[in-house]
Amino acid sequence: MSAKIQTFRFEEAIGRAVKSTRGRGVDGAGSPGLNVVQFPIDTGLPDINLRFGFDQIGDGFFTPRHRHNFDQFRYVVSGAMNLAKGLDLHEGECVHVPEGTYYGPLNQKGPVSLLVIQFPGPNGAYRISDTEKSAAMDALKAAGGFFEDGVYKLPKPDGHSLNRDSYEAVWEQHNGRPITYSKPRYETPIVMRPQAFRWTPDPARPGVEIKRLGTFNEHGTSVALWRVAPGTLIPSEILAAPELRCVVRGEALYDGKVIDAKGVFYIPEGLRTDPIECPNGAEFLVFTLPMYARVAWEAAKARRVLAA
Amino acid sequence: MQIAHGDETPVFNDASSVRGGKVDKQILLSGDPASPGNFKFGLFGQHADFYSPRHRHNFCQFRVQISGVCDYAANGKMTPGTIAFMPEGVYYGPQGPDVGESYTATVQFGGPSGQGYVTLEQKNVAKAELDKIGVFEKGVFRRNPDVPGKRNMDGFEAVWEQAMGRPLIYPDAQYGMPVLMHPENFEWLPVAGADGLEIKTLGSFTDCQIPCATWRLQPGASLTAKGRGIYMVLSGQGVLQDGEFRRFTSVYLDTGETARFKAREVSEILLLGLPDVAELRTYSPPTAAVERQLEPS
Repeated sequence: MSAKIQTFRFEEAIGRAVKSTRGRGVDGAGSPGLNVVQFPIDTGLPDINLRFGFDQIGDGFFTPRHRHNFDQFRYVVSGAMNLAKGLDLHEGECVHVPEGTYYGPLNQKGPVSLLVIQFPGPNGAYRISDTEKSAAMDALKAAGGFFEDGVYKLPKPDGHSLNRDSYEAVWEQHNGRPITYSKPRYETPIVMRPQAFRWTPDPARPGVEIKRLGTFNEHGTSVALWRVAPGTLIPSEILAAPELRCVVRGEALYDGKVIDAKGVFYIPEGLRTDPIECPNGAEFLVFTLPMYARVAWEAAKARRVLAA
Repeated sequence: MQIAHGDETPVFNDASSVRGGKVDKQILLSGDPASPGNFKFGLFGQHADFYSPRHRHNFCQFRVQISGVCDYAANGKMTPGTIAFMPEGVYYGPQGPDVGESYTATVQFGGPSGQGYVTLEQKNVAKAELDKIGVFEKGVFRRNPDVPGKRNMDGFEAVWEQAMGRPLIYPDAQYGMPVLMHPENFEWLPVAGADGLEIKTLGSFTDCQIPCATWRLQPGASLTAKGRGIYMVLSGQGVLQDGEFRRFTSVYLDTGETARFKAREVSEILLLGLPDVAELRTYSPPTAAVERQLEPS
């Protein structure tokens, strides 16, 4: 299976089939809201279940200190997101939470909306889909347990309960084996404050200025902001690595389709794009994912098999 | 290009240190004081009594933990092998007091703001002047009661302002906290077209895309280093240009320069990148009006 260039307007995002496994009172009444819509992006690689979407988190949402076996970035569209005690991510700011790195606890004050991308990191651990997560949660509940405050609790006959991090319990239920984490490449999440970065012209794309916010891990996963001047035509190009480009301001025209705020492009490597037109200007949030280039991903898989 | 060897560089105790505790220093490489790209690279032995309050700088730095542990409180602990990037304007610490001695390689350098980096000589002169009108305690300069001016100041700020004759204005922080990297948890990837050469890219940071990476060379393999930065030998030995390299041999390359390492045994070479000087902002000191607002009360 090979991926195509994909574009989605925000209206084409779909609601999530399952609630978060984390968050205070997932099963209880009055559970603070976590509304997620996500784009049905197909990377063309069956192992790579990439989630990119728009999250709205309500006041009071809580998750315990935890880590993931996948990578993620979060970009605040409005409001402020709590990342840990004394650490907030403000509007227009971005955080990279690498696989294996602990963060939190998150104790949300007030509503926040975010663009969120989650994807298998360099370790290649499988990121379960919402459908798989839903089935696993149902099975765990059928076993007599319940989810509360980000913890799966299975009552024992002695009146106590067996407690597990809820995501770990769900992942293990689906995969039938213990979850493993890569050792952290970075000690803490990396918080980027784009307002302090400078716009620099992109020599390859006249009319485009870039803020390169950071490049991470041995594969060079990176995040940047692009500012496109009104009237710019981003020329046809062939990328060396897959890119996800999300419109955060303005609009872009591609193949007769208007992609405006919170709309997204997924561009695999090796395919020629059509020109992207920005008659009134636009700003993009751009993720570059070199480890998702098919050759790199297959080579990494082979190395993991050898190492195992 | 500059080349220096750790085992040939004298050790001294820095009289200009504004933090608490004793630090043994070896300065291996340094830049042009007149340039906003000025830098200082060396090996530093912090004794267990070292203490530094939570603070920030108007320059960037990389720190490489060679032995011992540095505890930066909420920012994490550096254990041997950990590399930290402290961007300009970002608070970190407090640090210490630590358990036992801590040995690090550190480069401090002018960051994207173009504010440059004050030399050791400038700091020595400034601190000697401040020593006459106050005391440095645990990283804080405490002005004598009979001397006009702010009572207590961060030690670095006091020295910088004394040296430069103007208030220190910190650049806006591009990151929320220092970036601590654990290279041992990155995977070696082969370098295409170069037998026996592998790389771990650890990251690149700020709008100047300051890189950090490490290479592993098998015996007989070569690395042609290119790009402005400090290249430090972490382990191994071999040939460097017309001479030898061994542990802690360090090279400074300016933009456009190259240096060739050829390994005699398995070797690891670390890049602590420096921004191209042409990419730094042109720094304009604050106007007189702003300076008046900032005068200590």
